[in-house]
Amino acid sequence: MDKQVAALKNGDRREIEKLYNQYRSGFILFLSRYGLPQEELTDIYQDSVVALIENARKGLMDNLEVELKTYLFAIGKFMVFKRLKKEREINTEDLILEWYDTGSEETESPGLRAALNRLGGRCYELLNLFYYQGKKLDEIRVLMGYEKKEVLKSQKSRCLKQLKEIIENG
Amino acid sequence: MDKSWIDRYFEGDLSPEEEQALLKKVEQDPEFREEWEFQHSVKRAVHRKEREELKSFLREVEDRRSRGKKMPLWAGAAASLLLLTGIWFYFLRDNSSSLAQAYFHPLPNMVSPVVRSTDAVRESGAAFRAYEDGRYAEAAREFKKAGEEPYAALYEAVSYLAIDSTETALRTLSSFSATDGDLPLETYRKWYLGIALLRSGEKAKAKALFRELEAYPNPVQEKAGEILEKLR
Repeated sequence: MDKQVAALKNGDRREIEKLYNQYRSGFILFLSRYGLPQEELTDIYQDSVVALIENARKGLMDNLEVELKTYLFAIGKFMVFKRLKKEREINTEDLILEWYDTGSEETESPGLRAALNRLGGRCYELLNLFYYQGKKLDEIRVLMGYEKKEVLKSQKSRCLKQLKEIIENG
Repeated sequence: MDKSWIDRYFEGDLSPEEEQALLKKVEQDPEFREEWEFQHSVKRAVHRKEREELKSFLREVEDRRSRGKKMPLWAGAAASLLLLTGIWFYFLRDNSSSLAQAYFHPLPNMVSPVVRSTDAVRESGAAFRAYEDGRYAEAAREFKKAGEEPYAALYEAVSYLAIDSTETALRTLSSFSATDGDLPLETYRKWYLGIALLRSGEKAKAKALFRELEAYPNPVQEKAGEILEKLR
């Protein structure tokens, strides 16, 4: 696996900063032809780096056949087309990339965010691995050191229950 | 069917038939539906939270970049001195060539990340490697070998400009025309032709090109306007 990809997977902030600075100018110039203002392109660049990190964590970049730069720029094009509402024209050059659509913020259940912030560290870690990093329960069992999958499954149910209780009790 | 099916759904482990069965269950069983919707909202909320945290870190990086660009005091003083010298020269002589110099930046490699890997693009791999490393003389030679494609001619010409072979750049840029497609090749051809003309003292011809470029939306529209304003 590419060294930079490995660093992204580990969430190495120094490497992320280095990568951010490495490709920023080229990226913005590459997408400048779509007529978006500079601030919006910077915002799109940041979203694209976030997507890059997410895709690395999901293992989609483990066997990357193109350069990381090409992959990042393809994400950028995808993001621009999404903003311009030209989804049908999106062509990611056959690269496997994902961007989970979280919908608009207004649809977020009230109190859920605050409840997540108050949830115990281990519970949040479990939910993060499962829902954000897309890990399977078998992988999480190993990562978090549970002996049996069944124990982990009931732990997950308890965490969700706890979350509901925090929301209900405010 | 129990609720562990929802876990299996999130893990992507259900067959299409099983997924259909699960969706049917969600539709028909209110308790099941509530759990399904709750877990989806948790997924969305965790995503938002993680993304916001990462983005706020990237915003800090962006801030550090722009702060880093601010000059230290001594550099400011040196820059002022240069500026004063510049102003003095500005009033004494024609500014075409200095503007041509100031507005010339080699075009980044926009071909390899965009254009599907055709034989021609693969053949120009060596040329782009040299180009990106700043070995422009070698890049020009390699692009010349790469064939008749307009993008190769464009990068060949830009390589000549980078090593101050203005006359060769002029010849190359006048020898072909392109179209603006996925890459705005014709726009860039005109832009670099304008720069080359300015360098060789053909101000009127250069201005005509910049006027053309100023008239429609394109990546160098703003720059064309600026340079026209500065050309006296």
